[in-house]
Amino acid sequence: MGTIIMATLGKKSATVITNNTWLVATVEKITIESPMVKSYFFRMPQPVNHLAGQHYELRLTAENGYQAARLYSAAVASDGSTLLQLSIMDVVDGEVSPYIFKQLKVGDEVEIRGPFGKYFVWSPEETRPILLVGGGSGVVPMHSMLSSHQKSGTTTPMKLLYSARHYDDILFKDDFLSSDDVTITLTQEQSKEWTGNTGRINSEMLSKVLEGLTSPLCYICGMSPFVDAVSNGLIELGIPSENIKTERFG
Amino acid sequence: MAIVNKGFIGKGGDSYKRLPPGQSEVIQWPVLTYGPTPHVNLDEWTLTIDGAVNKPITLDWKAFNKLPFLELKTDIHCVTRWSKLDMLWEGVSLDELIGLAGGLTEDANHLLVETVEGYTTNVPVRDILNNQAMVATKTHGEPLSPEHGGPARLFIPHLYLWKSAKWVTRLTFSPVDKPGFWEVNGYNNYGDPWKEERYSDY
Repeated sequence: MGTIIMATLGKKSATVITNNTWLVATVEKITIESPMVKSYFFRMPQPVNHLAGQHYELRLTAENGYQAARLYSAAVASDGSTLLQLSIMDVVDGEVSPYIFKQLKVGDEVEIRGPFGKYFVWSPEETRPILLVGGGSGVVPMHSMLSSHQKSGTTTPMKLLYSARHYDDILFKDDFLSSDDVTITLTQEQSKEWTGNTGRINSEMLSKVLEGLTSPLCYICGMSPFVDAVSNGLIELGIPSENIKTERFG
Repeated sequence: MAIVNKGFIGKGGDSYKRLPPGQSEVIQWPVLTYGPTPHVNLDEWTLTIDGAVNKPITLDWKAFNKLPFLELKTDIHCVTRWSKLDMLWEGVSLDELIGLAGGLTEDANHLLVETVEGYTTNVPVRDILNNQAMVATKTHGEPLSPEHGGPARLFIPHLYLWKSAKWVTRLTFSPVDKPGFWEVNGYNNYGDPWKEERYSDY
């Protein structure tokens, strides 16, 4: 499949850029979200435009020409600017993320293309109440959905149930800790200062967060065992499986 | 492209020369289904072969397992960029199933696939003949687990793995193509890993 389409405009030929065209992106800012996750803000050569939940491919090229690419969800709704935020987890034994995490610095260039995926997405035209359930870095596309939801001003409810290991692992703390629509459970936090939910997501937590959501559409993102545990929990609570969308990794 | 990421070596080594472009080898076998994992009761399992065939047929689990099994030692390639090498797959070849259904009619150009949870995919008929594809029930001698598509999934190793539909229950042959679930959700209609046919343009 050609990723670059040559079109003839008059006598000049112009390159039509699609979501399959690799673009050179420059790292403009790096912020630390947690010990394992950093947010990278890339300056793109053209305005960024994606649906909440869509992802991009980031490609690295070695000096010998070897290339490796990985998919990362956009972390916030697009706002017409040329800045793209990807929140990337340092995967132990990974191939691409360790380089990004340890070596990529402000001013460096990488290649990025996208957006991709039209299934695990939310847009304001969706009128059903929404339950998002995220585990670990699976919460990244949900942050994008919540920011898009907020920006749209829609009154349809959207709630997030988010499972992280420790307090320090919670991503997007500024947005999540102060939001009434976000419930967090910490599976391994020992500190007494944490007064929220602890332990893995269970039926009780799911029932509580489902209160007030009539016939919701549910999105689950995380490691595959997490996704299966949560979707089984939702199905036991009477959510039809066709109203459950999942995105898995690992 | 002129970009070089200084200090990036990657895990290529020599193995990547055997892999389709842009793929990395995995040892674990990832699970990337788009929805909940269905658990199929073997007593209720059926496989239907219909559409542009001479004698549409529905098999139950017992009848299916009496058929001759084909073994394929092959690599598998997922569009999310992992490949798993040297897997041993067992199942019934689609040639065998088509034979049971009285053979294809002349206008059978495309195979449209349905699964128990409503997933669909599509593939040209030329890609599933001559032992290129099977309905698989085992890998490395073990039954396929539900998360990998058990009890039975379609298996077409030369295309990206989303074409190898998990929990397959119906194979419909058709004169016309009909893009399936991922094919209408931003992915390529054909999915050749060697040509990197990953996503559709939009």
